[in-house]
Amino acid sequence: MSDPARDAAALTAFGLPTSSSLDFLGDAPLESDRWRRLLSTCRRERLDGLLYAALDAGALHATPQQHEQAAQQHQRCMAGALLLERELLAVLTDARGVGVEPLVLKGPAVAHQDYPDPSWRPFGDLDLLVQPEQLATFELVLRGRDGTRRFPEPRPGFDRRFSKGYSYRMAQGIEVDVHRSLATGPFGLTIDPWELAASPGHIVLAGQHVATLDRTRRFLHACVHAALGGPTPRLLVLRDVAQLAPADETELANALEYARRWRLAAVVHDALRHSAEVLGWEPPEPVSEWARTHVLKLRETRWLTSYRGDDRSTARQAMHTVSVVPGVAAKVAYARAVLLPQQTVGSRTRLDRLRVGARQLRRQR
Amino acid sequence: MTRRCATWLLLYGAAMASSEPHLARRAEVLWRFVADGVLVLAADSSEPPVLLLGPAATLWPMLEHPTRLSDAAQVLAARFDAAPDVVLRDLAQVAESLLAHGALVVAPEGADA
Repeated sequence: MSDPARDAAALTAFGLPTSSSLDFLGDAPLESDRWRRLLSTCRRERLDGLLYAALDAGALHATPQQHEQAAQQHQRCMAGALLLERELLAVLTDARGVGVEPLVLKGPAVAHQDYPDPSWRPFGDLDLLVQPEQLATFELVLRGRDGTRRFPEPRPGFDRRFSKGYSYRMAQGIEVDVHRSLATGPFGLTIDPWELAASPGHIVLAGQHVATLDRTRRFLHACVHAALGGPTPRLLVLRDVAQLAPADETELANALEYARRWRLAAVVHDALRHSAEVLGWEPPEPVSEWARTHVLKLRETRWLTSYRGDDRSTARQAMHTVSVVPGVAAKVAYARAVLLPQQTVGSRTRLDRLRVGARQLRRQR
Repeated sequence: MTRRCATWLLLYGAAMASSEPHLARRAEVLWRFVADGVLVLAADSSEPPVLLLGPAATLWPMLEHPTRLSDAAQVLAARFDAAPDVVLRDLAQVAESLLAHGALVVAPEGADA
């Protein structure tokens, strides 16, 4: 009997050096129900590139009709990726015009630098890292391109001082996520945004140099996304962790140095464990050794549980965040913005928000 | 006569008359290998991507460096076991489409082949 989750996980790990092969799928094309489920999962989890790569390499077998379905799905998502890259270049050109030089995160950066071919790695939006002091200027760039901010800034200065960033919806429905940091909550504030943007890498798109994070920071970002991005990360996010995992002791030492400074060791540990468990790959030996022997810090583990699992709660994240905001005045400013935002999201009034926050805090005692 | 037809005749005629220009990809182009082909998108246009399939897709990697269509046709004719002049006609149509899309440029005289 087939297991759709196993099929999808094995496909997600396709091409990793220490993953199990797709041999268990057999030498014949998949029967139609099993294929339909796999194709649907690929669309949902953005695995179309890996499906194409596996078919192209002969690691997966398909009928002519199945091949055609996979081809069309791959062509569609790659057309989307190209349109996103075109928008990215236009946004970057406008940003440079006002002296802002964003770094590209995730999608295009990882696809072009970390996978055997960018066609393996689709993406559905744009993520940019902007220095805190340039966030307001960069908003003008996005507005100038008819972008609309999705969620208001709770209070003036919140974006620059405390937030993960903001999100804009552009023409044709393109979403641009602008990052001050890589995460919400306490981990977002322990990451130094200036250090994050230091010594960037770059890709060349349509003849333009586009700045990205360097490989170490891309790995850490993949871990942050996998561990803190939501209750159930996409399979492709877990693949990014595996794809970017440090290959040797030097790379590992670099990654762990930043993880220590930014208090991300538990995040890295969690992301590696989750990725290895779900995808069935074995991290390189130095990484495995570290994952086996690393003693997690209680504080980081507590923070982590406020993002994931049954104990996750934004109120608890906010409490932990207060503990890392430096200085009493800044702590008060943060708490005020979270509990009493000037502008509310959706239909909640400020009083509703205060009541919900107080209720959540009481429950945690 | 339409402009596209004129471009096609120019390319095909030039190739036949050995006064043929070199063609190359424009730098301002985004592209991806996709299942069965190549997607091409000029970064400075507002057009949707162009999908090259089958033999037409095999021309794209050859255009990384300035290339004469007749040279490409010779290579592809040998690869696909087809008559060079038939392949050349097909390539001229593909090149015309890519030129119209802003994905190709006529390389300057003396460019490296």
